[in-house]
Amino acid sequence: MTRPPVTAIVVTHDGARWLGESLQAVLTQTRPADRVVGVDNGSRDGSADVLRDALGAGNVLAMPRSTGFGAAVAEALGKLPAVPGEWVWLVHDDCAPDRHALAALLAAAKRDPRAAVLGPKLRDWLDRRLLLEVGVTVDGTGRRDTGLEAREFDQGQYDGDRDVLAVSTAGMLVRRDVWDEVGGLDPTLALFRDDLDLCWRVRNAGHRVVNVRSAVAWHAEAAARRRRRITASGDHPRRLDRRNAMFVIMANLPFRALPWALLRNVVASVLRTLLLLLAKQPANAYDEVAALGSILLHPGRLIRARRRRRPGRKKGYAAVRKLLAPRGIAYRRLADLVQSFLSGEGPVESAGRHHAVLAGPGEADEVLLVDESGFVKRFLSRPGVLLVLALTVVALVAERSLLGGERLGGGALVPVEGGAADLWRFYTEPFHDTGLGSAAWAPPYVAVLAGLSTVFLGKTWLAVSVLLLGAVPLAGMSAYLATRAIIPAVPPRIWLAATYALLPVATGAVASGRLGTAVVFVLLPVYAALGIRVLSGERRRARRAAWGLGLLLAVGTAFVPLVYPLFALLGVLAVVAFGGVRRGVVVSMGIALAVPLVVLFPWLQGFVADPGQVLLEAGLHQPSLVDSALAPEALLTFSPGGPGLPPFWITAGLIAAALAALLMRRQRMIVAIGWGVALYGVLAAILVSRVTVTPLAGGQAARAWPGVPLAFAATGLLVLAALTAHRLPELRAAGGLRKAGAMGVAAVAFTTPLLAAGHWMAFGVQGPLRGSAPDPVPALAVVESRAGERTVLLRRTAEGIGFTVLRRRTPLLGESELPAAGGVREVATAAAGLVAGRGGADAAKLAGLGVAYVALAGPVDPELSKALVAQPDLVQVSLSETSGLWRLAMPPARIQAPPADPLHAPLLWGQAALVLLVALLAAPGSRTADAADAHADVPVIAGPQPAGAR
Amino acid sequence: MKAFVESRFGLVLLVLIALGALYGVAHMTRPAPARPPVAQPRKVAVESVRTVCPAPRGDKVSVLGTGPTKVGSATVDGRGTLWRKTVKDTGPLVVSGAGGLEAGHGARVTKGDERGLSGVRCTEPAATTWLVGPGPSAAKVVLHLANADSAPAVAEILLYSGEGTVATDAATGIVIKPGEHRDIDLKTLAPSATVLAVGVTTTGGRLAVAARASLDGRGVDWLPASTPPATRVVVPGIPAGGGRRDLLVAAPGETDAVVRVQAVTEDGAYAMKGRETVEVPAGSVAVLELTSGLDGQAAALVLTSEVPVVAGVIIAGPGERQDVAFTAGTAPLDLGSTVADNGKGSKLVLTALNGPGSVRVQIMPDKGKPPAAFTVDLPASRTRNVKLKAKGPFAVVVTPVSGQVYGGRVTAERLKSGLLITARPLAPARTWAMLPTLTGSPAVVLP
Repeated sequence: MTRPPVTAIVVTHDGARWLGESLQAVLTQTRPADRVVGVDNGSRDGSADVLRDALGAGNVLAMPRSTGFGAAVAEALGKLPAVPGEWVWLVHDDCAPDRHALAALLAAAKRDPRAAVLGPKLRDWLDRRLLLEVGVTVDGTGRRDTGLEAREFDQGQYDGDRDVLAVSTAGMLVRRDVWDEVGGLDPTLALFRDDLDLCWRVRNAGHRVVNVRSAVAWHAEAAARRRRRITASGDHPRRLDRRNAMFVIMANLPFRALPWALLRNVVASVLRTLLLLLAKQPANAYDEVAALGSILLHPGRLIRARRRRRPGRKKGYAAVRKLLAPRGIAYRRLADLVQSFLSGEGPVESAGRHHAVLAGPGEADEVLLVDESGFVKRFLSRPGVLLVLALTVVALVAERSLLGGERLGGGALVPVEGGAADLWRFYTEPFHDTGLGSAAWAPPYVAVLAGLSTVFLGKTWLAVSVLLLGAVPLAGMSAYLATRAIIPAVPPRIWLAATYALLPVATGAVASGRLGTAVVFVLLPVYAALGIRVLSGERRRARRAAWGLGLLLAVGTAFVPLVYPLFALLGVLAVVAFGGVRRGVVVSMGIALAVPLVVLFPWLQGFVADPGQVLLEAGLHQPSLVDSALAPEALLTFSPGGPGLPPFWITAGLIAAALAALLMRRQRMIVAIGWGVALYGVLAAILVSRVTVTPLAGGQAARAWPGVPLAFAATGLLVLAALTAHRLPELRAAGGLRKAGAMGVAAVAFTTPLLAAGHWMAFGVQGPLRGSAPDPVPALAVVESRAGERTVLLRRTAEGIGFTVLRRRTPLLGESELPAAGGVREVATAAAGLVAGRGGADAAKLAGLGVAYVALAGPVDPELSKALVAQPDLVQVSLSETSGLWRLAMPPARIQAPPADPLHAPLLWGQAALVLLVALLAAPGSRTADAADAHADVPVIAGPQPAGAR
Repeated sequence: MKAFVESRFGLVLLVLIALGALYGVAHMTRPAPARPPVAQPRKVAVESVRTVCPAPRGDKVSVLGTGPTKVGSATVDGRGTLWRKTVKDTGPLVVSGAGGLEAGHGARVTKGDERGLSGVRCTEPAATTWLVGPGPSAAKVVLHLANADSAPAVAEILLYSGEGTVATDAATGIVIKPGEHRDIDLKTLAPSATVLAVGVTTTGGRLAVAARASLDGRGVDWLPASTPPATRVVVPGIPAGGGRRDLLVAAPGETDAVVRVQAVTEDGAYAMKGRETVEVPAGSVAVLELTSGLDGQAAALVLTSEVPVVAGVIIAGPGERQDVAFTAGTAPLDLGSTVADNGKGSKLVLTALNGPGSVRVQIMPDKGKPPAAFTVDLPASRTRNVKLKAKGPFAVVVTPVSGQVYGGRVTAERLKSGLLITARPLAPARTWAMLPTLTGSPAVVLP
């Protein structure tokens, strides 16, 4: 066996920048490889062509973009029958070996028959003298250690063959039989540390890993330095690196060393997080915590990995232990870190890291900058991102009058006051000491908003602004992402998302401050996507989707209760149609429909007594916000009536496209279902818009707003039109009349989003929503009144005089939707008496109800103020054109809160536990064995696989 | 079904039919556009009233109540009968009662400097009171301020003379404690004014305000409260007969006013020749002599202006020995009106504007059964005199039946020495109140 056969495998993924040089280096070896095969992991930059040109089309494997390096190599080897004594040489697309490298590696292999893995000395691609790696080791916390100083030049100081713990896969020469024996690279370690894991297992199998310093390769570390986009996982590379590092350590250590390693990792991670926080690098700190959490939260994954690595682990540890980084190295590194931080450089690690994993200043700045902008450019050039950016610009231009105000409010939205803590308190308290007092359940959307506000650092106004003012771009994003599974082509999806986001329902909801509709509008495409997955997904994924759908449906129902019956009917129909075909669909849909009922149970009881309230939504219900006699043509064009709507014909393009889809010969079923949903939605909208509802909280009766049913209807049409859009190119290719027709339909379809955006931007948001709504409660009432004292706020409206009872401040979101308390009638009579000036015991009656103040909201009505001024029982505190305040001459009675409902706290806890449980059951990866599945569920544009170069 | 779905035009047809059906359903169910009903206020009885008679010493106080009434410290049953008594105490007199209440006091002096008939309505404390009449250089004018509330009142007196706004420090920040009163001779505030409009506003608390003008032998009377500045002012109750009639118009704002003046007399409504408009510089009072324009007829004046104005009329008796009377801008008789202190020679001067009107008049004598009420019909834009016949002192209750009616009560007594006269516009009675319907609505927090 004088000349062992060598198979070189070049894996590329968007690496055209380096690939030419790497291939050249592989092909011009002094000792050429016997077989050279290339694997292209779905590159988009022409790498595949470079590979094919150099190696011949027969020697190149094309893999999907979502393939990892390990999987690519495994795939290539699977296609190549093993030859006795064969060596496999792994080459990254950004790794150019020296022309003597392979010869040197083979020579070393010959010298040491026990060596199964050999790696070259790695130097930097740009600065060719700079040393990158001469073998790698790790310490107990999984931190890499190359044993090199930062920016150390190669002067031959490390030359000679050395036993090392691991070598990089870049330029790694590995014996084919050993590779097969240990099972190759672990595909769950999609990126980073798979080399370490492989070498460790090779060592456990009784072989040696050798770094051959006479062999040189130049490595660009493109993925780790973020010179190309990492698509192996949605996670940040830094987090991935930390997670995999800890994972590899814990998977390969023998059991007796494990507890110590575990403890050490947890402590080290916490310390590191604190340090990073001190150094004001919250992103890095977050990654550290997330990596640790990811390990600790998935013990099953670790246990399985450990089971696979059991053979030889204990025995091999004796050898491995010597190669692990010495213990002192951690302290040395900490010292370096602190020192560099003190000297103002930021915590740059001295050794053993991929250079950009913790991007610090001071290294190859220019190159990195070019690279970063390249990344930004690539990110920004993605159609979905462009769409959302464009919609954001449209929204910002249209909402110019609302931005920057101090208090968002108007229409259906009560001026936003208070913070997350106030909302949490309001949601959890058993008795609401607001208005005349109420023991009713707070609307559950308050809890959702409270949670969101907590995320926004307690700023409720920010959360509400993002949800309401950002409804259009958010809806565009959710529509674009949610439909990616069903509509693969990008242009129709762009059209769908833009048209959906700019539907009259959306602009109308923004103009009237309908927070509920805005939230549901964003969620609706997600419902559609999850619903489709429940019906057609693989069983386990369908079940998970069902839990997620149930949770999101509960959220939507909390904001707009009408969503639930609308969706439930569709869901039941779908189960009737599909239930027989697929196993488990009935149960899954049952889960999705039962979760909202169970989670929202305490609040939903209120609807039993007054079912009409189902038609209302979060916020105030006012006659001025609806069209009391909505025209048929408006209903058929998805225009829900009320302020802030474009002309009804603006959706004509959408309807025309959907009608044209009816003429297609193929996909008749989809078209029929789409139209069915649309007609169903319109019918529901007609019925809803004809019903008059008086809100339980009091106020004028008004017709319900059909925004959500119309959004349902429009979604049906949009999806069917976008699904049939892939026929357009075929029709265009057919030429003649068909081509003209296809082009015409596409052009007409695009008029809807363009006209809607143009109209919205040109006219702005025209509705009662204001960026700075005045605080209706006079400042003096806030300052002077004591806890528990009530204020009757009066205002003259077009319909007469309205009043509400407040406590010291503007009501919180949701507080104004609590059912009116029993004392309202008495307050109304007594306050009317005060306004009429009939004398008598009206003031005493008010005082008996705990009222201490009567306030007049601005602009002050002169007649009302005159009447109140003339009242002998009222002492004027202040009166101006913007507000008036009077104190009752007699002291207010103290109102005792009724005893709390003993069931309230248990129900609340139960609700919280349920939500948590459902969220866990819906979480991706919670019950999946393999990471591949988990990745597929990450709701980000799926990113898989970089191959090569780390 | 499947075949239908598969056929190219079957589905189109189906969808179009469904769309048509939906259009039909939407069209059929479309309600007629209707404005939400505006809740109309209800007329309810007043439950309690407290009025202040400014300075009744030596005068006869007349009280007509609908329930138990307290006059000063004495409790009287004012239910339906007129209570009348001469008061000896100095200072203001508080009259309060459960239910509606009307009170007034007056005096008849036939000799001396104070010769004349005078009378005033006891008013409820208010935050703003406007009075229009002669100034200190033409008469002795005393302003009576009384605080009958439990909270202190801080008052500011705005003075407008023929020459413009009168600014004095003494007129601001006047503090009157609960239960106290203050009489201010306007000579101390605006000594040189011949005509004066006085606005008393409080920044805290309420005051009962009245003013008495004594023209140094040429008559004496109280100034009736005028409606606050408005762009349309009606001054009713100008009696028929000889003597001088002067219209005073003040523009308290910061803009000059051009006021159109229309007289509504027994013969009809007309603009008086040469007196169609009066120009009032901002912050001043203009005088327009209407003696020849009215030509001795009973009348009401309708003033319209772009700028809010207040107005009043000085009525002088004929002959050598004169008496004086005042009337001022007043609200229509929508809630009815009552005058408590009437006697021999009392009559009503009623004017219907904006179409014909009619009122019921009920006389309530201090003794005996009240006579039957009678209805007075008023032609459109005409003024009518209604003689009130009763024995002894009586109260008169005027209730609107239809139309928009303004009115005044005039009492004139012809003596050998000359005519004694007093006048008073019919102010809204404190018997009824308009109770609005209040809707409890959280939307009130939104503008």
